[in-house]
Amino acid sequence: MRTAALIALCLPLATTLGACGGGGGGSATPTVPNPPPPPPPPPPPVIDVPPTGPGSEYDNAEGLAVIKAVAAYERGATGEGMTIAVIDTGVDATHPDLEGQVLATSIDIFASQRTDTDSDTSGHGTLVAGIIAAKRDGSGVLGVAFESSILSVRADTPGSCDGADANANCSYSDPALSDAIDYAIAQDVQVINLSLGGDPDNDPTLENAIQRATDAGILVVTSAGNEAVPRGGSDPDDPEQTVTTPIGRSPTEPGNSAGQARFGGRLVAVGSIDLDGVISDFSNRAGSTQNFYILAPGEGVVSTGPDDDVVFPGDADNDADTQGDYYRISGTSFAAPHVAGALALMLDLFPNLTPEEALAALLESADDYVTTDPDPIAEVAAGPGTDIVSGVGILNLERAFAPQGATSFTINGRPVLTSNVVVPVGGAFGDAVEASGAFDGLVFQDKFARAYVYEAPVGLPVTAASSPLIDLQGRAGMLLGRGAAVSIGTTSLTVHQPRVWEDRAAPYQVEPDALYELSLGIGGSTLSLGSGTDQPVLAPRLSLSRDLSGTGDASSSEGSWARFSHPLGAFEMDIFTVANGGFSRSGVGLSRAGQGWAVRGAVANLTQDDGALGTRLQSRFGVADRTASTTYLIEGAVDLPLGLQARGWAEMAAVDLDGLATSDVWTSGWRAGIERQALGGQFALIADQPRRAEAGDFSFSTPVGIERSGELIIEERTISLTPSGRQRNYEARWTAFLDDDTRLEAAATLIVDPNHIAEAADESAVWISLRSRW
Amino acid sequence: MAIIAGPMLTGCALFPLNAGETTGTCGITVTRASAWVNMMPAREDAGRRNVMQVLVRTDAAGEKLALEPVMHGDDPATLRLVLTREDAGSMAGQAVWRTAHDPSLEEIIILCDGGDELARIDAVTLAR
Repeated sequence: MRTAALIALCLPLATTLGACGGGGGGSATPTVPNPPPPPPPPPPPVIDVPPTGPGSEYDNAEGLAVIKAVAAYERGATGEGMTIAVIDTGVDATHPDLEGQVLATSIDIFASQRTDTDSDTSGHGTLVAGIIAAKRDGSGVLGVAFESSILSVRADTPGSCDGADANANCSYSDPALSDAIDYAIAQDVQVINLSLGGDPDNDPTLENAIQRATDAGILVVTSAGNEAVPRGGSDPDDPEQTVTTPIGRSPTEPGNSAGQARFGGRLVAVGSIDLDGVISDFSNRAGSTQNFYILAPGEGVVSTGPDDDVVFPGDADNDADTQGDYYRISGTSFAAPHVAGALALMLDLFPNLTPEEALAALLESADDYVTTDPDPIAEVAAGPGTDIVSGVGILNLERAFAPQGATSFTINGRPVLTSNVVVPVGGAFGDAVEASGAFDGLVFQDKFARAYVYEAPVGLPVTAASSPLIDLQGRAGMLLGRGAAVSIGTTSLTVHQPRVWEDRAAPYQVEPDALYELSLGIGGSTLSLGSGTDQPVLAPRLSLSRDLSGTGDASSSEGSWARFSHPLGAFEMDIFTVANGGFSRSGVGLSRAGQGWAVRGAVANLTQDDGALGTRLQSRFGVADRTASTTYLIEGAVDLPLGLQARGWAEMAAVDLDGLATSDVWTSGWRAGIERQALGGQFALIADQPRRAEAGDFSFSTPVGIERSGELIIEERTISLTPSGRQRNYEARWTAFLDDDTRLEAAATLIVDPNHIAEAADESAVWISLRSRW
Repeated sequence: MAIIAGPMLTGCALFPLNAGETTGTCGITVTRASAWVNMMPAREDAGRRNVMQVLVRTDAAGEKLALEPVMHGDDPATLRLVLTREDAGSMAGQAVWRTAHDPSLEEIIILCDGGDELARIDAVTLAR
């Protein structure tokens, strides 16, 4: 029986070019004042993803697909620049898949004592090295970190791997391992792989050496051991002695130290799973190391080994060459290098990670391993979450390389959660931020401060915050509400209570606020107070669409308001104030009316303490949404021939967006309508453009890339605040009193480019109501 | 059938005579069977012996089971183990057998006490 299955691999080189995964472009415009121009971000790397599929190096290795390594390659990780020390039985640097991967500084701790025949004929170290770094050459197998380098440090005790003994297991002494680790530290490796283990003892030599490595910032990966022995049956050396307690409930030494505080989160033990993701029977379980124990493929994987004439001397099936071959192998020795390679990928792609963060990124993203049947070694099932059977679960590079935890952009030096940045849009600024490509190619970071390029959804419309259509049921409730009015001289009071529509599916319904209006005549002046109602305006009103900027129409608004008007010669002056939640408007107007016409101009100061003209803008860039505007408006009405009456309103506003470096932000809004008696009722046609940003831009600084040193590349961006579309509301309305108590109303509206988003689907509604007193 | 010869068998049993009894193990389904030898490089003072572990898991939840070698067969490359309802101290529903590692062993056949084959282990995993 062969000690390992020889795998014949002869594959053509097939290379495909992967798509570019980075953005980083975008138009960068200098801002005012002009800082020194930042260095241009490097072009996004062209990622050449290794081919996968039957016959590929990737698939031949077997373990790569299990850990979803291609996800790391698609992000650009290869292990380039990383060095992994393989402290083992030596590595055959002449193997075709390892040529050029093994550093010349590799050594044998016992070089001076080694005889010519003292070699590991099983090729343990070469097999481990192939899992980590078998190169990408179109044939054989692919290592997890196929562009990393191997520092081979041979440390097995001279003579312990005597090839003449088929049962020989290479062995090590703690002092030799300690020397090997110290050598790896001196060579500035990033990761040390220790695919070895033994029964725990009280000699701290090995643990102290590992601590020297972890103190030096090196990640140490150890195999958990293959010492699993289930309960039951007898001992072969003592048939009368039954094995009453399972062995292997925790890793062997040194893996049993994983998780101890002295190692600073830089030591991990690796157990084995088969290619179906089932924990290997031989593998030591997590036990007390569960938080720093992870599972990786270690059963039936394929790697680089010695020439078959070395492993199976004299076998008639051996090939004719003297090159290294490939072997299907098992053992936690080969699970560990999957994790070592994964750490090299992580440190390659995210150079700003600390070693312990790189390991944590693997541990916290592992697939949970859950079973219903009791494990034969731990004798309990592997439950949800971390457990004593499977530790944190199975290594999954797709999840490990995806952003983890809360993600944030860094804007003007402040972290801003991506959930606050990528939000539904609307209001006066519509989709301005999205349309300007403000976030395209920007770098955001996850909880480990790993950098990712933000790719804006392509071809998908941005999400609108809300529809400009009114709540039709709410309008019906308003119209069908009950009201009362009283008038004494020049004083009048009206109160209106909207009707409540019972929704039995809703557990609790808030009764709409009552509307009231009080008017006091004082000499020639009038003081009006109200809540919920609209102030009188000259402009026509829309009945089926609503203003999304949260600022109301002209001088009207929902909320509480007060208005004082006083005649000034031929004019009438009015002073008004409106407050509704975090919104307020105060100003002064001047109006004049004649026979068949009226006109009014006003200047007002408008503030919003909880928004930016109907949307979130500043909060997307790390400061509170707060807006102050100075608005200039004019409205009027005039009688025309043929019984027509024209009414309209227009406004321009200079907007200050608190906290943003904006310049020249202006908005506009207008409405025009024409009315006429027709068909026994009042007919109206109205066109409207809700408040919309017409000019203005702002600048911000943000990362657009990351250097290999981990330094973020900062770019200053200036974006326009003008949205892509221009919302127009068109409404036709006919209202007739059929008798004293019966009113018929029909209305239809078409809303083009709702929320000022050019690609948004038009919205429409039809309203027909018949109201009568019963 | 031949008898397995070889020093790796530390205990052997004649083929059971209770084949076909309803209390036998032929109605049991083996859900997973494996055999392995730990050959990982270890510390030189570990004193490890290369012992082959055979583990058979079944659908007989709660049953006490055991594996016993069958003394027939002259093929040293094949080990036959019979599943019995004896209490060998194993976890309920599973059975264990262990012996010194023999590199010439190629397969292990698990039989019920009626003689039918329940499972076959094609290779002993050398866990390095």
